[in-house]
Amino acid sequence: MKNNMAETPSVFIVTAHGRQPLEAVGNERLFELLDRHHVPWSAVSIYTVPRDGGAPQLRASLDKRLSEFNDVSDILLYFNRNVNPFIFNVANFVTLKQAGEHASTEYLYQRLDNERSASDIFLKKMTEEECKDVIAQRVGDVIRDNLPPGSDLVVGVSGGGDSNALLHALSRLDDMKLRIHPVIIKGIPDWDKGVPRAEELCRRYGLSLTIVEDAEVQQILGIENHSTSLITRFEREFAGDDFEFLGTLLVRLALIRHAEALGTPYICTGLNLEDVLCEALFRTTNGQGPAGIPVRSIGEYRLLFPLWLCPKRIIDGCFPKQSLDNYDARYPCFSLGRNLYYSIVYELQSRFPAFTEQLAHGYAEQSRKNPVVYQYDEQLGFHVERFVPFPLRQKFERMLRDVGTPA
Amino acid sequence: MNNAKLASAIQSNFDLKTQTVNLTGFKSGQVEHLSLAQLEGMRSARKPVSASKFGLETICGASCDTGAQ
Repeated sequence: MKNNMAETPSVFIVTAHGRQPLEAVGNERLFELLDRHHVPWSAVSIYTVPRDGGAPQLRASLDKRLSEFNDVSDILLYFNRNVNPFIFNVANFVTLKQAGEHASTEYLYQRLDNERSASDIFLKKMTEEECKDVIAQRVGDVIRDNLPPGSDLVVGVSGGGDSNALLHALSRLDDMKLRIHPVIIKGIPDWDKGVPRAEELCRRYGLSLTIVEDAEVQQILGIENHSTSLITRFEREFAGDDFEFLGTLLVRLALIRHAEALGTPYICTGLNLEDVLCEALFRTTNGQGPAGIPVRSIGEYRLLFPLWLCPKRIIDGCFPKQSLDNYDARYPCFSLGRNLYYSIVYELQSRFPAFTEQLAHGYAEQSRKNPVVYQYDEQLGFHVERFVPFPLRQKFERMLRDVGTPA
Repeated sequence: MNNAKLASAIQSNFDLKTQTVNLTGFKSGQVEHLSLAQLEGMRSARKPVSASKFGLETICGASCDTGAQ
């Protein structure tokens, strides 16, 4: 097969399963051509066949455009394993018929068939109600496996899509007869903006929302002088880092305080599939096994992640308006690690939709076999997993005392 | 940085989402001078990237090392 441009060579990917011609577009580089066809650059060796005859030559040319191969008749991209690189081509999806109603989201489902050595991809468009049904089923699985009926459950909410979907799902578990205690904390603009949404949602489900005001949030951390906002303190001491890291601690401490008052050990937050995988991948690169999924014991409390098998795309399809409001209230993430691990999860999920759930199940099983034990840190006043280095502890303490960095 | 400047920087970050930017950063034509030893050092001996810039997960991460809530 020849391309339309007379001087440009034909491009084939050569596999043990046969030679697949690849169409080029314009004068793109080989890198873009591979990327467009979902062929990993790291899996191919590039050989070129001279126009005037001769043996194929190995050529390092990912950055070369097709117009630079004037002396070449064919570019042969040898796949360096005997696997079929096109089995999992996620672009070959079949769109499933949808029953008429407006779809709020869509998701690619993948069937991995060991018998046929095949992968089938299905694009499923989903209505809000379908999304809610999916989330309710997944949440129900976690709750029924981990809580006795009639339990008190303290739920961290933000007014955004994840916590709204979580509350909705919990409200559907009539058989469990749970007493749900939603808690929202304030102190930074995107949290504060979520309060009216959370209030509205709790009214809808007949739940009583506990709002932890800014001053109490600071007091939970041991801050006595409330003159400076938490986010300003954080920015001063940890410039360029992300408030989310402090946020997850604050939510946990607020939920624990409320759970203690109620006399229940059960608390939960809205970590979804991508969140648990992001954490687990980070921990793996850090030489640590996964922390408890979908439940972890921190001191005498059991922190549950009922949304652990729920992709954010489906969660956001439950309450599209609230999800959009949540997006509009966000700060950008600057820490390289958080950017890196989320990016990897999304790449995996987008190219291999069924694999991320398998990975999550694997991590969950590992976490059950080797549970993480958290220790109470007397100085900090809460549980941590491992020793906190002195310089970091000092910075944290300075933030709490708002004394600024010494010259 | 004083509180007022900090507050302004924080607000500026919050408003980024409404501004048109170029995040794709195409680097065609740029030349770097890195030796193979340096490159191999990056690849094979690199320390893991901490979740938070300052490693805050060590203090805060029992509920999620990567900051999800």
